[in-house]
Amino acid sequence: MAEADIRARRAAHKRLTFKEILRAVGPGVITGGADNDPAGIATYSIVGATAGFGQNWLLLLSTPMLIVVQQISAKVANVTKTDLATLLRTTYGARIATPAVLLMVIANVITMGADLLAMAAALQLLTGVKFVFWVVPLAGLMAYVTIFTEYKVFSKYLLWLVAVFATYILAAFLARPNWGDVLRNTLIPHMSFTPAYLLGAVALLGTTITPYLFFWQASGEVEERRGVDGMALRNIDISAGMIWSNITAFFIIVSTGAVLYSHHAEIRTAADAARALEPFAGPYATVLFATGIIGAGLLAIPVLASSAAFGVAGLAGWRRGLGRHAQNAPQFYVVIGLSFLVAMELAVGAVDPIKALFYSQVLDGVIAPVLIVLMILLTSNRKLMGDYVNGLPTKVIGWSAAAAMIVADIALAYQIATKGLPG
Amino acid sequence: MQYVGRGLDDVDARRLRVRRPDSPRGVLDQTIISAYPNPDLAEYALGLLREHSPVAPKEAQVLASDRDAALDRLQDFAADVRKALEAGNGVLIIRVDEADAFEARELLDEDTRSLWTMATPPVPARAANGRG
Repeated sequence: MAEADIRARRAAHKRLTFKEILRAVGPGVITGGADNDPAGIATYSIVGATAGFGQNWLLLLSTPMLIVVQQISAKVANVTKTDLATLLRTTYGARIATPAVLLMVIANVITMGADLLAMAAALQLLTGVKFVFWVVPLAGLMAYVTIFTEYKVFSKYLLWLVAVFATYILAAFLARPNWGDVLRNTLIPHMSFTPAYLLGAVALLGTTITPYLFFWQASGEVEERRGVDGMALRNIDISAGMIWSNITAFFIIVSTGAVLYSHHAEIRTAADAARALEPFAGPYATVLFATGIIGAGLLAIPVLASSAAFGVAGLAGWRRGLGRHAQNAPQFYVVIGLSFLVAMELAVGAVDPIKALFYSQVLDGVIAPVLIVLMILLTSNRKLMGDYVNGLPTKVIGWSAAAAMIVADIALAYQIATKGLPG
Repeated sequence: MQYVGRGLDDVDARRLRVRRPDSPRGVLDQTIISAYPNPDLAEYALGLLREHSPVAPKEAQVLASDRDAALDRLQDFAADVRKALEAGNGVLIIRVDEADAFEARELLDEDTRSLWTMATPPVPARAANGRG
């Protein structure tokens, strides 16, 4: 074998040292904590409050699926050296790429609106000033931060605000749930074909395996110029981050299940959702919850707006990237600005923040399988991926993720058509 | 001491850093293919890449005919290139180190407004040379 070939193979399959693995896992765990945006926190809380621990098995099932979907998003960008929207356009043409990307953009803008509402509701909890008065200043501040400042620097500090959600772990233990019940519901799958259960299942899958993260992951690989050499470390980083993200989600459900579901209490306001932290924080639960929601929103909303802009700019072939100055990529930044405007309009017009947060995640659950199917097809294409084409385990887990979400979507559509939406 | 921001003459260059990709060089190569409305524009894009980008292509060629031998090396991508050439487009093909491929693709895709740009999968540098 030629020497260059041997070096190339060594570079692709080199053994990682324990130190390298530890260094790679650190940022991933922090980022994973940030993956739970306000809409995600609200969805997990509602699932815990309405179904108790009954949907924990879905979280366990979705963990390997989430890891695989994020890993293939990173891989396709590192091999083809471009973002998802551009790749969809150049591989499948505008007829397939445009609706796929537009679906993601619509879901992102609606989620942005819902996240803005959540932050405004959190500020209402802290200040007593009604949430509608917070929406416009919040949207303006975040549009400014996204367009005119370095998001990467800003996000490093916000991650510490989001770390408050780790307190759900303590709150879950202090709430003294029946751990036998929790384990049984986590390890043994069971279904209930009611509209409320299926709505929760679709929202839970949609907020876990969420479309904007695919685009954000791929665009991030391109911006960082990572390349195929570091993919093994990257996969460890992604796995650690996604596992941590789902561990946090698991304890949010356990905590809300133990505190709210067991007392048949519903979540109608942010203050209701904050009650799940009472076993840990007592009278300070509201402050802790509101702080976490504001941090999560400040972190997630610029990501949602940027992912939408990466999608539209990739479709149109415009200059793009948060590393570029606004004057150097004007259309990219105009899309970011427009998405903030529309999201703000949606947030001002909405009347029920909790419902808006939940239904935005149901929409994500409907859109995600379409994008997962396209991504598996892209990464299974030997012409595009060469030796980096998906292996059998990746294909099996990836297709299972798409199938699980499609089955849940169809069952939900059937139940709603025959029995109507739950009240 | 003068600091950054007071004008070009006063820039303290010790504070400036040009970030290069961490990927090892000389191990993998990648070929970037870009189609333009005509061969002149493809030549122009190549000139832009050579004069205004830190990327140094290991090989660069503008194709104007579907009988060019370079097409054989493109394997699965040859059909896309033939289709573009039949439509009268000019096609620019460059081979770069994998570490430079992000920058090269970005320049051809976004800055030169090519009709389309594709990247072949990374292959060992020697095999890409055709001397494997």
